[in-house]
Amino acid sequence: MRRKRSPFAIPVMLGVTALLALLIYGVAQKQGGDEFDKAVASGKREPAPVRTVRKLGSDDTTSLAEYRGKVVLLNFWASWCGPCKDESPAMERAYQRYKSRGFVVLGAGVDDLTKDAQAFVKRYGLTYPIVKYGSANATKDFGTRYMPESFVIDREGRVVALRRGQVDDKWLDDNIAPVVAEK
Amino acid sequence: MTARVGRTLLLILALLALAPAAAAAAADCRVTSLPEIEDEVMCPICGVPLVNAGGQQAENERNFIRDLVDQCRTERQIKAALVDEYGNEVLAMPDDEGFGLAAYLVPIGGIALAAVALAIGAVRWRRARDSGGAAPAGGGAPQERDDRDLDSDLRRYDL
Repeated sequence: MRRKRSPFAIPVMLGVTALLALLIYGVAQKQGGDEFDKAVASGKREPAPVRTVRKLGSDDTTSLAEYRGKVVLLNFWASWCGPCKDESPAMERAYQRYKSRGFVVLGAGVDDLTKDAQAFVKRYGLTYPIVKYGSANATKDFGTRYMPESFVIDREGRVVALRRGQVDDKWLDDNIAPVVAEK
Repeated sequence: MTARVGRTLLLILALLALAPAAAAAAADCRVTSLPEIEDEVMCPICGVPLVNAGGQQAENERNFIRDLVDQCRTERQIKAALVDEYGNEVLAMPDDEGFGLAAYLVPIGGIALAAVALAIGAVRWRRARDSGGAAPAGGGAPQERDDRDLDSDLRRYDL
């Protein structure tokens, strides 16, 4: 005798299938974010995402598109992050060393109150432009997971080098000088 | 000279007398409070709701909220100010794009599926009821049978 199927079987099966598909998609998406790491490791240059962000302490906005034609060191930092404090003097030195050759450091403050970020900038005497960049956006755009993280972007807006962690003068020189020298 | 000192003292006294009134006025205008807000926003640095967060960064965020509460801002205005400072992630709301969209779509999908299941169930129940409504031969519906039996019993006992 053929068993009669419950009227709820089809909707329940559809729902469970949809939830499973969603779970797999979510897990796959969470595992992403290392596209730039892979590209840089294989010598490829992927375009950096262009997001409009607010300048620190101002209603004015800017984006990486405004820096096209310059070599940009995009540095994600926060005032509460120890390694960010340690690397800030090196950032400022690199900015002073290369800025006359079409180079700029773009500091991207993450998860900070404006006044805390401003105090940090003042304390470390940072003269390069600083923007506010939400941590969720930083993760979405550049796969950031730690603070600090730095990305060297060439004159055409492509990521050439990156460092997920603190940088020093040597790393900055090794990764900025060759890109600045490109025409 | 003495008159000038006297006037200054009077002015200071007047200001001191007015200070509590001004503070009270400020307190009266408050429309929300830290406890009302801190369980609805995140401490983005700590990755937990602010109400459960400890440490200096969480305290900075609380102080920021307290200042705005004292400035008589509404809950909505304070949340907007927090978004300005930290980004949307401070609201502990899922993204309205990508995977985050699922948080909004899944409940809608669940309700839609439940509605479909109910509709199918209702149709099947009605069909079953309609087919059960045809009286078997010699029988009749239970109510009709009962009525017939009752009539015959009453006739039998009719004096």
